[in-house]
This record gives sequence, C-alpha cells and structure tokens, in this order.
Amino acid sequence: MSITVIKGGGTLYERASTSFFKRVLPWFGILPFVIFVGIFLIWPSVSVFRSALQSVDGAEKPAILEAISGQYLKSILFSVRLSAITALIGMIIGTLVALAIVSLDQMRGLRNWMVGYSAVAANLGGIPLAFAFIASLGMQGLYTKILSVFGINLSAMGFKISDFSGIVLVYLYFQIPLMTLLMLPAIDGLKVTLREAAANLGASQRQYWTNIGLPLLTPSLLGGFLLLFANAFSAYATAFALSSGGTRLVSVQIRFYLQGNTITGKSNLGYALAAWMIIVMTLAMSGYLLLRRVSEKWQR
Amino acid sequence: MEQKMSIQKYAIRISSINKSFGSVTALSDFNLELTKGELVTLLGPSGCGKTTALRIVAGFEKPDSGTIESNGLDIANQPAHKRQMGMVFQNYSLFPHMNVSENIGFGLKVRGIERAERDMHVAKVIERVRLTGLEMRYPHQLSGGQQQRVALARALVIEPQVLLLDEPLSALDAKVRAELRDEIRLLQSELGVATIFVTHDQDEAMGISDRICVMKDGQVQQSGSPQDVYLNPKNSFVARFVGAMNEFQIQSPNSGTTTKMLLRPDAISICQRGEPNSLNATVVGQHFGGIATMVRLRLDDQSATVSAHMLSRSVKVSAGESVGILLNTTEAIFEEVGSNGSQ
Amino acid sequence: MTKRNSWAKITLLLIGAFYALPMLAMARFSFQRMPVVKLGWSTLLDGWTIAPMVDAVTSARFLQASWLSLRLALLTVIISLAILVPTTVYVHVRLIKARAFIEFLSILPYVVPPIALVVGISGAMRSTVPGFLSNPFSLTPFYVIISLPFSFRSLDVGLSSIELKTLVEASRSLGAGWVRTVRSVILPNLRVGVINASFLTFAVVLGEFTIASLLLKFTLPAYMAEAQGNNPQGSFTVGLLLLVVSASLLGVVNRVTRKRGQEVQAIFL
Repeated sequence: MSITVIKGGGTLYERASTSFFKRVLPWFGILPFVIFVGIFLIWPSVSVFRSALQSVDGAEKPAILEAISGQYLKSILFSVRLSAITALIGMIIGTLVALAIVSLDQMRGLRNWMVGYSAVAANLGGIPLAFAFIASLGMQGLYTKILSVFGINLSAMGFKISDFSGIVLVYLYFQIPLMTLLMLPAIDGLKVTLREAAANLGASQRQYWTNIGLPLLTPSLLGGFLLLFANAFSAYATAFALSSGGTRLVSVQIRFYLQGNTITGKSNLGYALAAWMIIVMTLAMSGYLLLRRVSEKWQR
Repeated sequence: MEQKMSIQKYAIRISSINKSFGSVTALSDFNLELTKGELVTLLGPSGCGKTTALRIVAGFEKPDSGTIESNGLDIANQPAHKRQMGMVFQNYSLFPHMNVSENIGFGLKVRGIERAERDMHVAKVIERVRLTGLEMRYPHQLSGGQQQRVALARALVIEPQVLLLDEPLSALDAKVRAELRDEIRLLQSELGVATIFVTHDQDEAMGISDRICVMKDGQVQQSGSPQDVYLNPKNSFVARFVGAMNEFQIQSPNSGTTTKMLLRPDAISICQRGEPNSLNATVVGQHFGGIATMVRLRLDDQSATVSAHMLSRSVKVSAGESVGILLNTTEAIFEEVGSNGSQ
Repeated sequence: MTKRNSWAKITLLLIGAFYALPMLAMARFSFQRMPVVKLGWSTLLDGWTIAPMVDAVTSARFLQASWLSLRLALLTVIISLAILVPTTVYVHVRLIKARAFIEFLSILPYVVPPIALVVGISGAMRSTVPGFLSNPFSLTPFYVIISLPFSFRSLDVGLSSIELKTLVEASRSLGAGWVRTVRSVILPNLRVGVINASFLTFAVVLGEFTIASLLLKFTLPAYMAEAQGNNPQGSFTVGLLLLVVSASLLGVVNRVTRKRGQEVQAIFL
C-alpha cells in the first residue's frame, strides 16, 4: 500500500480503511455456510482424529496405529479387497456398457433411458437394494430356486449373499451404472475426427486404439476406478442389511465400538478405524479429482 | 504406352463419382484431375458436395460409382488408412494427449519408422512450418494458428500423394487466416504436392488456387483458373457466387419479356448526369476500403441499388448527389427471369 | 459395423436383465405369499396378495417412521436451500473468488463416510451438547451435510452457465432495484437448480440408514430393518415403494436436467 494522499480530500486513514473493508468485508457473506460446515462436518471429523491419536486402554501406541495391527488390519484389508474388486469389475463392465450405448447412438431414446436409469441405480443402495438381492439370491431367493432346478446348487458351491462374493455382486448394482455415467462423456470425447485423422495418417483400427483411444480413456478409467473404490469403501447400509450386521467390513465393524457395549477404553479403536477410513477416502478422492482434471484438459 | 505415360502425369484422377445419402444426391458425375504441385479449390455453398468429394478421396466415404486413380491404381475401394493422403481438418483434430513432436511423428510411427529417423523428419518439417521451440507443447497450450500449422506439418511429413484441406482456415481469426493461407500456398508449391482445398470463402479460393471448381448441388458448375472463373463465369450462379454482382432488370420493348443483366461492380463507372449512354442515379453511400471504394447508388427509374467498385482516388462524389453511371456491358451476363441461374 | 452393433445390443440386454431381475424378485417376494420351496409351474399364479403390504403400511410403526422421515426430508431441503441459495447467489454475484473454496467444502463430505461422521458426531457432541443428539431432528444438519455435494452442484451448475454477475449488473443499470432484480433475474435462473437440489436431497434423506440407525432414530429405513424380522413381506414392499419413490424423484431430476442440454452426470460427480 502506497502512502499517498488522494487529490481533493480524503485522509490517509480513510483510504486505508475503505481498502481493508472492501477487501475483507465481502468474505463475511459466506461465513454462515462455512460455520455450518465447520460445526457439523469439520468438528466431528477433527474429534475422530483427536480420539484416534489417543492410546487404547492406557497402552503405549496411539489407537490409530493399533488399528492397523493384528485382527483390525484384517478388517481393513477385507474392506480394501472388496472395494478394489468391485471397483475393478465395475470399471470394466461399466466401460463396456458405456461403449455399447455410444455405439448405438442412432437409437437416441435408448441413451436417455440408460443414462436415466444409471443415475437412479448409481445412487441406489442401502436397505432396499439389499432386500432385492436377498429376494433374488438369498437362501430363499427366487433365482436360487430357479438355478437349483437347473442343477446349480448355490449354497453347495459356497455362495452366500451375505459373504464376500454376495456383497460384491450387490455392490456391482450401483458400481456399474456409476462407471457408465463417468465414462460416457469420456467416450464422447473420442471424437470421430480423431479416428479419421489417425486413419488418414495410416493407423489401423488396432493402432488407433493402442495409440489414441486407450491413452485418451486412461485417466477416466483410472479416475473411475478410484471413485468406485471410494464409493464401495465408504458404504455401510447395504452390507449391514445383507449380513445383518455380521460382515467383517470395517464400516460395519466400527459399529461395535460405538454402541456402548464395548470394553471401555477400546472405544478409541472405533475412532481409529474411522480415521483410517477418512484417510483412505481422502487419498482415493484426491486421485480421482486429479485424474479428472487431466481428462478435462484434453476434452477442451 | 502413351496412355500409361499420360496417366502418370496426374497425381490423382477422379472420374464419374456419384454419391447419394438416402434420397439426397450429394455428388453427381464428379470429375477432377490434379497434376503434381497443383492446388485445386472446391468452392461452393454448404451442401454443394465439396466436403463429400474430399471425404471420398480421403476414404471416409465410399462412392456409389466411379473411380479414383492414383499411381495407376483404382483406390476407390481402398480403406482410408492405406491411402497415401494427408488431410488437414477444419478443427485441427490434433491428438490431445500428444505433444507437437508426437503428433507430427504419428504418421511415421504407424509406418514403423524408427525413432531416430522419425525425429529427423519431424525436426525438418517443424522448421518448415516455423514451429521451432514448440516441440514439447501440447495442443491445448497452442493458439489456433499454431495448432493448424501442427496439423499441416503432420499431414506433410508423410509425403502424401495428395494433400487434402477441409476448410482449414474457417476456425481462425482474420489476420491469422490470411497469414496461414499464404504459408499453405508457399509450402505446397515448394514441396510440389498436389492439393485439394475445400472452402466456401471465395476470396480465399481466388487468392490461393491454380484452379477453382465452383460447385452447386453436387455438380461442378465451372472449373478454371481464378481469373477465368471471375471474368468469364459460365452461368449466373458462378457469377453471383464468385465476387459481387449487380443485377439490372431489362424490359425488352418489343416482346415485353424481362431479362436480368448481371454486371461486376468494377464494370460500372460514375460520370456527370446526362452524359450519353448513362443512367441517372443518386449516391446513397460509400464504403471506403483502402485502395478501392464501393459506392452505392440508387437508380432513379428502377429504384434498384447497385454498387460501383472504383479506385478511391477517383471517387469524388458524396451522399445524396445526383450522378450518371456508365455500364461496361461487354462483360455482362444475361439470364431469363425465372431461371435459377445454373445450366 | 453391424457386428459391433449386435455385440452392443447384447451387452445392453444383459445389463438390463441384471438391473431388472433383482427388482422383479423383490416384487414377487413382496406380493406373492408363496415360499420359494413350494414355487413351481402349478403354483405360479397362487398366493398373490397385497395383504402384507397393507399390514405394513397401516401399522403404527410404519406410520411413525415414515412421518419422521418425511418431516426430516422436508426440513433438510428447507435448511439446505436456506443456506445454499443465498450463499451461491452471493458468491456468483459478489465474490466469485470464493467459489473454488466453497466448491471444495461442498465435496468434503465425500471423504468422510457417513459411518465415520457418526463416530465423530457422538464423540464430539455426546459430551458437550448431550441434549442435542437426543432430539430426532438433530439428524437434519448432518443430512444437509451429506447431501451437500449434490445440492451445491445443482445450484452452482445452473448459475455458472449464465454468468449471473453480468445479468445482475445489466438489470441494475436498467434501473431495477434489488428486489426486482432478485425476482426477475436471479430467481428464474435458480429454478432448475432448486428443483434438482430439492429432489436429490429428498431422495437421499428418505433412504439414509447409517446415521439414523446409529444415532438411534426411528426413520423409514430403520423401520424396514426392524420389520424384516416380524413382517418380511411387508418390509420388502415398503422397500419397493421407497425404490419407486426415489426413482421417480431422480427421474424428474433427469428430465429437468436433460432439458438444459446436460446429462445428469454433471450433478453427481
């Protein structure tokens, strides 16, 4: 700030204060929103980490480190495995569905239908979805029965809707449409003219996909994987309903530390597990956003 | 023997191409021959078939009938990626995930040319299009003009038989457009590559071409040098489309039939009112364009407005003035009233 | 080309079946009083009844739970809009620099899974403000938070596309006062965003289970979990109803968004 007096009146003081007000005052306008988020999101999250950094039962290690050892680690890895597998399968199938939709572009109504239902299905979850799959493939499920008529005995094969493979299948119900929604704009971005330019320069179908198509889709594919991973990792209600609370997933296990029927002092482990969940989610979502920035740059 | 030799003279020979999309005829009996180093422009309004013709040559559309001869072979049914053509698209179509070097080198890469040799060719052509220093940049970091030069380099580095340009300048702003137009012409003639240029902008066409093919509704209306097409238009569509035209209604005193007379603005000059063979008119306005000025006049009797294109130095009239105009009818084109202008 | 087309059609047919079959099974279970073991070609048309559904829907527990869920949803929508509409309008008109920061805050809920949030809530608030959490409507602010990504995006997308600041300046320079400007320029452009934000939030709140059950509030999903034991068919019909309602809400959002020329994906991610 320069120390000059304005011509025609107005003291130094006046100049300085209007400048300050003009700069800072407008930011008060967003204060209600920021305070709201601060109280109802930041404060609980901070409290999670605060308790997680305390020790369990007066032991030496803080809970957050205790949580990644021994049996607790198993839960986390179980969740990670489940999330990774549903993300991978969801990524592949979701992309194939998106490719199918784009290639059938002539049937205009079809795309709108599929996008519409994908939007619904991607946000489906929780109790109703679990119910639907219990009715389909549970012990008394409709398709369990139908399959047994054809000689396929699901329970003899070790399949239970409340186990790993069952939960994977149910999660795919919302993972696939989520990936589809993500990939549609990316595939749209593979404009026909790029394909033509490549062909004109001598590239065969295969060379086009290897050099142009796939590289251009990769950020969206990876970003989609991360988003799907985050989505599955944070899910609670669906798995809870499928397994009646018995599954080994971290999200559901945290509940035990919360309901008060715990040995006192161990509750910090609940916080620790929650803290790890937040850490994993932050990593996954940051990766997704970074990759999305790259693909947006290319789509101009 | 002689036949074979004359075929070799042509870089490409397109014969009797017909193409329809459903009930719409896009091209009707389209013929074109290009020699090495020649730049031919396909000029016409939207829907005239010029882009379709280009795409058929490139291999993105299959003709219903006709042949395309290049190097003695009929390539009409050859897939696009086997033809030795370089194409520059209207919206550049640069590969967004590759930098300038990689974009340019792509055609060489898919032909299996090794890295070292590729880099050499790429460096040479980058210098040619004046993009030295920008090799590592990505398309979204370049201006429109720069992107188009990359597209050009990319098409040229593979040493194509024919260079195809699909309205390459329409996405650029005026100054860049003029610059790039001249650069394209320079490169093309230096390298001696046969070129087909598609545009709807007749100024562009006239400035750059060895030959212009004016097209309408899938048919070639006239094919000739720019001077030819401008000074001797074969029909009134060509006359109107290439350059500006004034229209006069002429009543034949005997038969009562009306004829339209088309006259170029530079075939009209201003004189004193009452001079022999002059028509009376009032000056309505002027449009100063540097070297030349377009003077707009309203004819006293016909209440039609005409434009006279004159050297600015010779213009000594002002708005509202009553003057006479002289018509140089030796260059006029006549057409029956009611006809649509094409033959 | 046609080979690719038939492959595409098969893919979509298969995925369509995958999407439809569970819903069909759920509907069958809900409305057919026939245990799967006894189900066969001869008994296919027997036992269809809406009795369990009627039982569930008229039960006291259901009415209590859905009444709470309904009020929570409405309250959440109102409070969301009350906070977000002024904030987004203000940011777009007066303080566009803050937009990136607000957007960051709006996607922050994504990194805190509901389960982790609940853990934090009880930790932070159970001791400091004990009375707060015992009130069933204490769920509302947290529901505002978890629907923040959708609701902010819905409003923001609409305002970004029209350069609100320029419109407001134009309106003011033509002589309109603030009230008039708000009425004629700002509100009409908010309509789509507000509809989307409201419907999405409503759907999210109706189906939210994690926070509600862990804070021991008896909402609709909590009812479904409870009724699964004593009236499984009834609870399944309620689940089906919830799906239909959510799908309709999202369907309206889709239709409204498509009219704007965007696809729904822009709002969710």
